[in-house]
Amino acid sequence: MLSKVKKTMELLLFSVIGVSIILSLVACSSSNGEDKINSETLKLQQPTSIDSLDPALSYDTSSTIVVGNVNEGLYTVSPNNKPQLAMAEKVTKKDNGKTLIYTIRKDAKWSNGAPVTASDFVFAWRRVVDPKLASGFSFELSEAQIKNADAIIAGKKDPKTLGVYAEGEKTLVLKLNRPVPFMSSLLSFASFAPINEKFYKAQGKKFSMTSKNLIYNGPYVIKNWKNGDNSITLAKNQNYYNKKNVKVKKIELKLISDTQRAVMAYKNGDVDYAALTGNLVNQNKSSKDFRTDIGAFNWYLMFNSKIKGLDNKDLRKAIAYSIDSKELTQKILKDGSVPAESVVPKGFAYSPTDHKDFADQTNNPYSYNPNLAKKYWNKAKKETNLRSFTLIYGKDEDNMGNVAAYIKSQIEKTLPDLNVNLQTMLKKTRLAKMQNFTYQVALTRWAPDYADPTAILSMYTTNMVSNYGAWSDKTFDSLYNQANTIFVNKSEVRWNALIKAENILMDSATSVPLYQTANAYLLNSKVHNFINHSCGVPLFFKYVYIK
Amino acid sequence: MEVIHMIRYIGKRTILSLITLFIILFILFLMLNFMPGSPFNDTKMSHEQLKILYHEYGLDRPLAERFLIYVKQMLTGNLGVSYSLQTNATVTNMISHTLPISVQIGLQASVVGSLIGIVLGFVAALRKNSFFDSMATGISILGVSVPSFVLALCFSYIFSYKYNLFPLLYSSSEAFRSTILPTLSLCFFTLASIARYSRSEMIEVMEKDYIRLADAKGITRFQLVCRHIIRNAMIPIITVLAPLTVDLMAGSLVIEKAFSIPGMGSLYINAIQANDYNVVIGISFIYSLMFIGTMFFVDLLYGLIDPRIRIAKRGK
Amino acid sequence: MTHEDIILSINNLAISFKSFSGRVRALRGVTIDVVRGKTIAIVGESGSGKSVTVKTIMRILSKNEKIESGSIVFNNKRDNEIVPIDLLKLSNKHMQREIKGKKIAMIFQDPMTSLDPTMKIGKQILEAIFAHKKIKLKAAVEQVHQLLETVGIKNIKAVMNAYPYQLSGGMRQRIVIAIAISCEPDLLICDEPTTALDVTIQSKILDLIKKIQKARNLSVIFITHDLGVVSRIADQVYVMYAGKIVEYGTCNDIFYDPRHPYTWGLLESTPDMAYLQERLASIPGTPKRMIGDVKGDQFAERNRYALNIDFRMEPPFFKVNDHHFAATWLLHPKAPQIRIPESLRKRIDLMKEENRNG
Ligand SMILES: Nc1ncnc2c1ncn2[C@@H]1O[C@H](COP(=O)(O)OP(=O)(O)OP(=O)(O)O)[C@@H](O)[C@H]1O
Ligand SMILES: [Mg+2]
Repeated sequence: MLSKVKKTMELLLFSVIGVSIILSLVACSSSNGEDKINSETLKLQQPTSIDSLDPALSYDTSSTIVVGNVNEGLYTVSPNNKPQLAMAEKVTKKDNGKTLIYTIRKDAKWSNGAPVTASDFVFAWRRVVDPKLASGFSFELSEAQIKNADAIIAGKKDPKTLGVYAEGEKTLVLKLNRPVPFMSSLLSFASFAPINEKFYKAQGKKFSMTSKNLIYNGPYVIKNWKNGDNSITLAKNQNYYNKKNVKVKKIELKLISDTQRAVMAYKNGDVDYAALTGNLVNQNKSSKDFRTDIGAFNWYLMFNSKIKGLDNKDLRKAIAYSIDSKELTQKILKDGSVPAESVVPKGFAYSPTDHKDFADQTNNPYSYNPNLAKKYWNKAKKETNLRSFTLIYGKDEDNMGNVAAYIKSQIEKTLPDLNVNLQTMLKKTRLAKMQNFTYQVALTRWAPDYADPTAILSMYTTNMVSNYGAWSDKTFDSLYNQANTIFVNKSEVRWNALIKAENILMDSATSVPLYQTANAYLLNSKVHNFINHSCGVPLFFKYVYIK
Repeated sequence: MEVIHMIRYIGKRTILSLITLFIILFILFLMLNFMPGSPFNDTKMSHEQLKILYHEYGLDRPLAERFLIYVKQMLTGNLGVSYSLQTNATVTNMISHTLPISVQIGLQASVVGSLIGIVLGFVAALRKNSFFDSMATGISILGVSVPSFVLALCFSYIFSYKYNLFPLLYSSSEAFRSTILPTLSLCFFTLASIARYSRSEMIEVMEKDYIRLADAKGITRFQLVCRHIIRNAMIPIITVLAPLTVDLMAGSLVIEKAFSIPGMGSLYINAIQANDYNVVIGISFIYSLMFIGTMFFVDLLYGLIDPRIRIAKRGK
Repeated sequence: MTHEDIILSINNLAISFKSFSGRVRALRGVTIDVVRGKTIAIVGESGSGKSVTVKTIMRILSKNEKIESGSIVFNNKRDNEIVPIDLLKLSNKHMQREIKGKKIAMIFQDPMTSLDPTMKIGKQILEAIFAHKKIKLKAAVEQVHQLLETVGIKNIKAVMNAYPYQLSGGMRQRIVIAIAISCEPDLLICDEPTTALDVTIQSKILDLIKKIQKARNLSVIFITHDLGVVSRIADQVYVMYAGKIVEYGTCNDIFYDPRHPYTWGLLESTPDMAYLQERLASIPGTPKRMIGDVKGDQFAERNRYALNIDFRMEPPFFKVNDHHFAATWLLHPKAPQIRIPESLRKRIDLMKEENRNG
């Protein structure tokens, strides 16, 4: 008996010593980051693999980056986040802004030398709305109010009836239902890129499966790539009209999904950029290469107002006041996230008059206040007998377990008699439950698709597909509609109407914004003009230079 | 005589395997059918749009019909297309891009792991209670208890980050060199469990009466070990080794993620998470095929080593 | 008895095992002489140390086993000259090459597990032959045929190509015997070779061993529980209890004139045709495991006739006649006159009667 115990102890000791030797080897942080960077090549880490390089089907961030840099639409985005003409050299408005006429640049060429023509745009856009292709970007053409887009998407009209026409080789005419104030921002997105019809037809089903089955009109082309590879290399497009201003000759995107490994690769000089997540943000905060940009989306609590009790404004307010977003971001998350104070995230929609951030102009009433929380809870208790609800969250979504646990403890601590049950599931299950309204409260997020507050506010309009709260308010609806109709050409009035709409949302605590994510990363200090855009194409390499 | 029996046996096994495969396929179909969410990137699609999409891909048809269509296509080598992971890429293509590297690394890991494991286990058994034995046991405990991603991290920290001996990440330009660290990290579990298993198997066999008798014949220790002990100890080892090997060949998500290997393991997990039906079914199918194939092969191998099984087959 | 007549002598062999509860003293000074060409039987209850004794001859030692003292001298006959070898001092290599299989062979208890399941029978016998003989395959195969014939196997070709699991227990034991005699050993050790077989086959195997022993002038050490078997096969009997020989003598000595109360108990508990109707007597209690230091006669606690001295001192051997010795204080001149139990007395008389008549 004794000798057995002794033996086990010996083995245990052996393993403990072994493990600690290995760990100490790993832990002693010595960075041998030699500077392998040269001015011609930029190497970036990407956390996800490419899903598709078909401009109409590339949803994933890495894919969007590639597609956005090898294709170019009518517009692109400047380093200071303003849309500017790209393939188009001129635009004229007619019909009160309901007809737009674009002139395509004469020197715009495809990578095979063919000229970029107006009909390339017509072909590409018809594809996006074609229900047979079922592009996840088709909604963007309805957002752009292009005539017949909605009917075509719903399968009621032929794609040929789409309100976009080529008049001659270089003139593109857009017919709109109504003017769209943020049209140029929308059109800068990758899904509005042209496609060369002749080339497309020649590829058949192989289109976009390898770099040989793709054609490019953007600043870069793809080299030797096939779907499923773990890295992709972009090279300067020799046929790009503005090639003399493209400075970096080669861009390599490497798939490294393990962030710890990404940091190693960064320090090794294998990549010049590595995204940071979770603990790694804190660990690398003091590095001189550490950068952080505001992220694209807000995390928030969504209430299903079809559930009795959750439609109660006071209850929702009580919850909003009982959560301390500051503590949540600084003590729980510690990844650079910041408290969210409005439904519309910061950093992507700016006032047309004074360029002020929309999020800063609205009411931000819900800072942590346990007394107010209790007050609203006492009020709510008289109006509803809901005393517990279930909060759902995705277990495959970063950190949500901790966030959910924090929210539960905060609510139960602040609001006596209110129970929060936590239920974890895959993200896709959470989404399905939200789409079917078979949930009570969800921890969810949403990223804006274009640089206008309506990208977020539209979700709260009655009958919107993505109105997962099933919330409805007449004043809100009418403000939203006015902003898109009668105020469309009066930018200041429109802006104020949208602020009012957001304030209605906040005042009724339709959803409770928690925090806005941040993009933290390491970037070689020799890389300049490397700007993350929080909506649209995340990165444009043509501005980047290395010095 | 023997050949005819063999052929008949193989035929029988093949038919049985096919039936098993079909049942697996059908169960997969059923299970995926009840998975929440759709296979598409649909957060921003309307119900009408989704309906059109479902119709376009034939997903609005009854399950049984879909199953039959799938099987029919499958027989012509068509495993369908990916819905979301690599939109519209054929599953056959996706698998043929990812399978070879997974199989290569898996086989390497399995060969290295089982060879070292068996040697370690056997030597430990022959020198029971010696220092070497304790060391081997220590290694086994480490190998089984330290997760492969920790090993992967340690290896790449030491060998690629600190001393730059091997690439940190998989790169097709250094195809073999960049599989060495993944192989090592992956083989440890196999190595450790095989070492432990072979040690105990060998000790068990060494206590058997027939080993005593063989020893009493006056043959040398070397002959005893080679002719009697190893052969008898190998039988159960092969049984556990086979499924381990298939497991390794199917690709390890953890290792593939750690070394950025474009393999089948991560593809599979991603496909499950994305509800990419055809990819999930395609890979499951290949996986089952590999599994059944290996078990079949092991059975034949078994027959070579263990006469009881070989003759039993002949008898039937 | 001259020195040359003895093929193997075990002298004062003491063996202990390390165990969790302490040192198990399995053998405590065992002395046995085996006469060339004769059969000795070792009898005793389970756990008395019979197997340990013979395994030590073959140097089959467990990891936790320790030889405390003693020697095993094998009087090896080479070119008509006798060379005594202490088996316990021999190198492993020498033991393996010169003794095992070649001079001393062993048959184990369970034929079902004695043969390698993955090897054909023919090959297993060939292996034994090739272990010590440098001959051509053809000649060896010829020998296998002869051996199989000797052990009474009929369809030799088929058996040679068979695997062990295809044969019955009796057949397998015949194969084991064939292997044992394949290199013409001088000494054959049989550790309960028939216990695992059913009665009819038991006696066939027994006859076979007897026949071979006669034909080849083998010396045999035969271990068994079964006194009936002993009377059929043995010239000399050693009674063993708790790691010690307590009585030994010729078959007649032990069966007709037993002196040790333990031997009485053994005889009483033997089923016997004539007395089957009567209640079968058995020795009360169970043998105890000897852990640590022991004192006195180990059998005393179970012994109806135990004397005071039995609990304090181990009895030495007392001579009954030239070839009969027993280690019991009852034989001491000063001991009270205790006679053999009446029921056993009657039984022995009856047996004598039968033998005289038969
Ligand atoms: N490997 C071992 N470790 C510990 N004790 C052992 C070992 N082998 C034998 N013994 C002990 O030695 C004693 C004698 O065992 P042995 O096998 O010689 O008995 P036996 O007389 O052959 O009995 P049986 O008739 O059951 O075969 C027993 O008490 C047993 O417990
Ligand atoms: Mg025994």
